[in-house]
Amino acid sequence: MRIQNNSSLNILSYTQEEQFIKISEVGTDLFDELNLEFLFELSKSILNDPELKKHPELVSFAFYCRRANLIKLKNKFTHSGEFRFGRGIVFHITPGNVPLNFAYSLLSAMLSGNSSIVRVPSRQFVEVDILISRINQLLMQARYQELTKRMIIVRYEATSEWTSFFSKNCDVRIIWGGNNTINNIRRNPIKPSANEITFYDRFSVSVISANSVVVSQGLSQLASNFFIDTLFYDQNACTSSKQIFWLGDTETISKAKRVFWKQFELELLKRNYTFPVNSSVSKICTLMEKVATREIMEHPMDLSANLPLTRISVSKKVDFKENDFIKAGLFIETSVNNLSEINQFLGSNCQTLSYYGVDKKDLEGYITRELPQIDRIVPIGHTMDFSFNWDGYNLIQTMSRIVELN
Amino acid sequence: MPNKLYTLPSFEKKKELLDNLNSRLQLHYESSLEFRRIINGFFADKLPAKSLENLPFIPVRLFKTLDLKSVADSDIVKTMTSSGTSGQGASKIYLDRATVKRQQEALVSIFKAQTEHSRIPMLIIDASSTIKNRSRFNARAAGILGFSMFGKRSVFALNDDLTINLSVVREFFDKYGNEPFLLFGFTYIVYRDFLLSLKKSGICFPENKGLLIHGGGWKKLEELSISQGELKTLVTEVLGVSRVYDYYGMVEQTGSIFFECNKGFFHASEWSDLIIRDVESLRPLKNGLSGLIQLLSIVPESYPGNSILTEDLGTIYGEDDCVCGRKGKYFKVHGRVKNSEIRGCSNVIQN
Repeated sequence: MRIQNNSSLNILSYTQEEQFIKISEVGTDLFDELNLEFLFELSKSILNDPELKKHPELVSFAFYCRRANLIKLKNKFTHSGEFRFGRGIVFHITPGNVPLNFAYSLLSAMLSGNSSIVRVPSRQFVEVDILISRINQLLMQARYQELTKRMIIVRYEATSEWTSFFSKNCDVRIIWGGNNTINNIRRNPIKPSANEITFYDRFSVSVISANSVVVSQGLSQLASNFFIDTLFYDQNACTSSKQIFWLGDTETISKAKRVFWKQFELELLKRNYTFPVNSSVSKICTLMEKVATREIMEHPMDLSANLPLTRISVSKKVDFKENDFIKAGLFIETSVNNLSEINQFLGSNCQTLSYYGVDKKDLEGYITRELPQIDRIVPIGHTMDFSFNWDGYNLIQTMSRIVELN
Repeated sequence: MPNKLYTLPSFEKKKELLDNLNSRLQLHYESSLEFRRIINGFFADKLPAKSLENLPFIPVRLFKTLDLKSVADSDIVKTMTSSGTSGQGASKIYLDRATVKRQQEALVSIFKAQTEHSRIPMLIIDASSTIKNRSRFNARAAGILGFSMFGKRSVFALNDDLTINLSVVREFFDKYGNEPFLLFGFTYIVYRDFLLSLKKSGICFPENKGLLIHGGGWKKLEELSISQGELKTLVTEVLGVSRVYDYYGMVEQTGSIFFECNKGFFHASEWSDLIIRDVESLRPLKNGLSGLIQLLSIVPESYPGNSILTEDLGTIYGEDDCVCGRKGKYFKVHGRVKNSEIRGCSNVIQN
């Protein structure tokens, strides 16, 4: 495939040609050597640069790409005797507000043997600029020349024709979420043979054992982990917990809540967290609407003591809609006696259940018994950890094709 | 109805207003199911309130998402809508006969206190089509109709496409240039469609006894980035008018508007008051600090709009001691609070 470059397209990655950019259409092996070498070197170039320590998101991406981890993943995601190849060209539409999401998306497509066209946020992020410049330094080297035809990183105006063009010519389209974005992008047809991965609006929850909190010696670590999971992204990532299920008896739960939230408020102070401007009004609008329509009918809440960090207890399922503002420090709390009770509160869009103080055995039992509509269950503090299994997709498999030989 | 508008000292005003608002909110509590649930849910034991700061309030946005009314549907004679700027649709304000009457009473008394006129010739700086549909109308139409009470032989200065109807405008200035007259319009319409066009065509009128009242449209004016001072200078230069009054008001509290005094501050009349609240905690702030404006008004009866939290930022500079001589709180409006862009993957590149 060839892109005829014009002024409406801003190509950020290094390319051999400037006018007619070739993109390789043929898929390769999964975890192929050239890609792995490239990623190891990229990882080293970031991890060895003390200047970049102040960008934790960049460091964790580099850490993810280090040799030991990728070899481990290669063993996990490839199977000997299986013929699997990349599907061809993957067109990535990445979220505007998570700077390095594009990197993980690109990484998945590379390791599943594909070429990529990656649309990055139009908003300028320093982490994005740094990573692209590191990628380009490597692409300019002769031994990675082949890869210049396998990754094209672009920016363009939403009004241009490029979304339609790339959609028509890709083999996999991956849309990182927002229901509205997905609906808009879907107006642009893809090839009959192409497939699509969409990350729609999700709702994530936590379950915390009240007793574990009460007896915990590591409360400040828990609060820090919970912060990273939630307010680090203003509680607006699809993995951010919005509802907390407190597991235990009434008395222990109220004790646990007291110590947990006290610690969490300290964490906010420690991190100098500032709530998004005007989020308090948005929060009370959502809550008042729900109360006015009897979707929430709980004990009275004292506004003056409950802002800007807001908690509301519910004991019945509430149908939260896309426009409901449950972010920026609005937590819904529910007491449960056992794990199975959680199910009645979950809709079909639950993504991550994060846990603290709950036995893994109990969680296994819960999954097999209740078949919950949840994509991933991870410890609190790890909801943002990237995995090739995401939102119920095995990304490596979904972006590759299998050849059967009998 | 208050008979004096800017003369009650603070402690007396507070008491009168509090009694009045407590009984009004109590009526809404009894008549509006949604309002009652909100009060029970968030302001339990707050009615009757012991101070103005303790009165329950609801965010104006709720008028967009909920149908809030305290009278039977058969008593509703008019529904006003605000322009839906934040993409969530428009506010719906349900009026019965009594509320319409109170809105007029409030506006008349406030206008008289401000201008010392009752009815004078009026040039409406808008198009007549703006007020065509009278059953459902927006803030702009409400403003025009409201202020038309003070006009004699009112004419519209703009054509339906918002270009200037020059012959009407010239005729108006020729005819009434020597007596007090009223120009009225939305701020950004006055600026963009009237003043700028006249200036571009090199037209200006000699000094006269007219007065210009404008308001409401400053949210859009912000985008045009012109200061109040610059606007006034331009008005005097182009229209020959030296009395220029800005007002601040909300469609949710039509009638009890806030006029600017000659020192450049908006003033609360005895129909209304305001409280500034911290944007994060929503706790009341001391004078001098900037925060969200909560508006109090004794006008609304058919809907629970007596105590509303706006999304405008403002600062109260003092009470009862403005150099202009009026009592009451005086304040400035800084504009709409800007929601910050939230991180996270739900907000994606718009396509």
